[in-house]
Amino acid sequence: MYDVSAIRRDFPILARQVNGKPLVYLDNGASAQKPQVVIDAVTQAYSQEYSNVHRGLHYLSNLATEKYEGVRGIIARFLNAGSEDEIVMNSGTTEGINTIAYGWAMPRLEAGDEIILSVMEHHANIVPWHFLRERQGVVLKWVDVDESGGLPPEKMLNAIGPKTKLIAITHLSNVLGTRVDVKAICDGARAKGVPVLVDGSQGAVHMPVDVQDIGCDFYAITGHKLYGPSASGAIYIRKDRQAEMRPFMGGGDMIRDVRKDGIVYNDPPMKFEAGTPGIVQQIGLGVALEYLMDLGMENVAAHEEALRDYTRDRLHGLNWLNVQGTTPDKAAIFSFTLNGAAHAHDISTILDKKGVAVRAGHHCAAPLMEHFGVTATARASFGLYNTKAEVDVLIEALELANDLLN
Amino acid sequence: MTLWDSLFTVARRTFREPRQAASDLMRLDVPRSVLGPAFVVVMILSVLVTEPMLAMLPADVFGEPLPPFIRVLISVAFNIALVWAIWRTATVMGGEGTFDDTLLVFIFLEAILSLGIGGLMILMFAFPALAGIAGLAFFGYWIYLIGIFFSEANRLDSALKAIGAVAIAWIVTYLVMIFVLKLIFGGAGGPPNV
Repeated sequence: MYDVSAIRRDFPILARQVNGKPLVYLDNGASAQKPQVVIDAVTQAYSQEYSNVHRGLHYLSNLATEKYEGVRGIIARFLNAGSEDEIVMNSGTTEGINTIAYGWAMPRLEAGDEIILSVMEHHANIVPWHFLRERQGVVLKWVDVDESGGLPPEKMLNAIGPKTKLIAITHLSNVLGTRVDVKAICDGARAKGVPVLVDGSQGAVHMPVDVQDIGCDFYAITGHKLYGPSASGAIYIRKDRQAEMRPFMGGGDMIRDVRKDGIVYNDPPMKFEAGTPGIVQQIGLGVALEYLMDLGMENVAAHEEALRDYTRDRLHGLNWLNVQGTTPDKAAIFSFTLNGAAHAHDISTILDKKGVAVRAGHHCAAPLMEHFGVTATARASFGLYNTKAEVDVLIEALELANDLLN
Repeated sequence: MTLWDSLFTVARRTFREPRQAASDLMRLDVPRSVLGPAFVVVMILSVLVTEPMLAMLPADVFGEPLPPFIRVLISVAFNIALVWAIWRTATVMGGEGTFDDTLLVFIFLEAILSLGIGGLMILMFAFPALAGIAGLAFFGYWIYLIGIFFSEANRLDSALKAIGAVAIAWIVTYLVMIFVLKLIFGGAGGPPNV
């Protein structure tokens, strides 16, 4: 039984008021709030269990190492990876994708080789590839979404040419809520010998993920959207791809031996984790993932789908609102603009006065904004603790915004 | 951003990052219905920019040039056959593009060629000494662009293959065209001044 009231009590921040109104937090796409168990774990780690990891032989270092390394297994379980050695821990999706760009793609791709991207990628899954374009002459091949914001897998697969070396695709759009059939893309791409990187920043938050079933080569997640601490995260890198990679960053931990005339790298995944990691952040992430798995990602998905349907019905009645992204199976993420000249920032400011937190701007997805011919949108993105009553508050606030701005 | 803005962006990028420009051009979603009129427009443009050059040639080099209207007609016929031949040759070489993709690239490159020739004509009057070197450099680069853009349009795995496809297609089309023109004009004369 999914008891949203009980779940809300796990998140202390949801009890506070903003601008004299109860907080309605609908900015989960940017970052999610943290349950008390995560806050407690972070406090406990700093107040009772903190030390550096992998370095000392003393009690605290061993304890911290044990807790930190335990998270690798939790992440592997969360993503259903074949082995926890396939999990490289990092500060989030941005670092994860950069690890692949620098460690896997940069040494392998030559001028004229292609990387296929959709126009709805987050900047984290665009800019690292632009680095390769600028520095090595790699070509970025863009695939458009359709009018509803949908992306049929065959569109991505049809873009594959003889020089395609990678597909980098989001699992779920942070702007439109569009779910991408990454399994079909991986199946088709594998048949053509093209690896696939999946940006799971949003996907892993809203639905169960099984990287073995998807068949991807890389799957990046970020902790702060998964109800964990900021600067935590991981990337799944399939074993055979790890063998093709060179390290991205150099430093402590990722080496076995350093001499004046050479180095011997540690085995993966340590090979790709240089320096002191975000120890406490990762411990917090482990707790957050356990929390999600206890709730059951299927249950979280079902709850959010009910919210999506309710929100869609309510928004449908507002004929002065333009919603971007209308695929039937989208996640509970709604980007919108008002008819007339109202800017998304103004909408967001008015909503904030009613205690409703939404994001306004380009959502780090400028190519998508260009595709839809808008400079910015407001976005309400729902999480596992949101309720239908909060949708009603959002609608009231939007009606007020429309009255004031138009 | 309008389609025109996008086309200008691609045109500018062509000289900095030709591979990226070729990929961007193919993904612009240019309506296929405009390809026909655009093709005729660039053919007219191409005849117009070569007009002053032909006027400068002595009449006994290629004989008396045909009137511009006829040359536009011949250009349209020759080049549409050439595009078809490029597409078919590329397909035989393992390409997977469509005729429309090949036509789009042809129109784009022809427009750039026409503008380039226009620029060279101006240079010829302003700095005649530079015009020859600039012309060689431009045509060398244009052949490189042919390789890049046609390999993208036809999904060939190398630019060299694309240049080969264009060369074969051009020779075949040229020979067929001479044969057809001889039939029409009763053996009146050699290659058309297109």
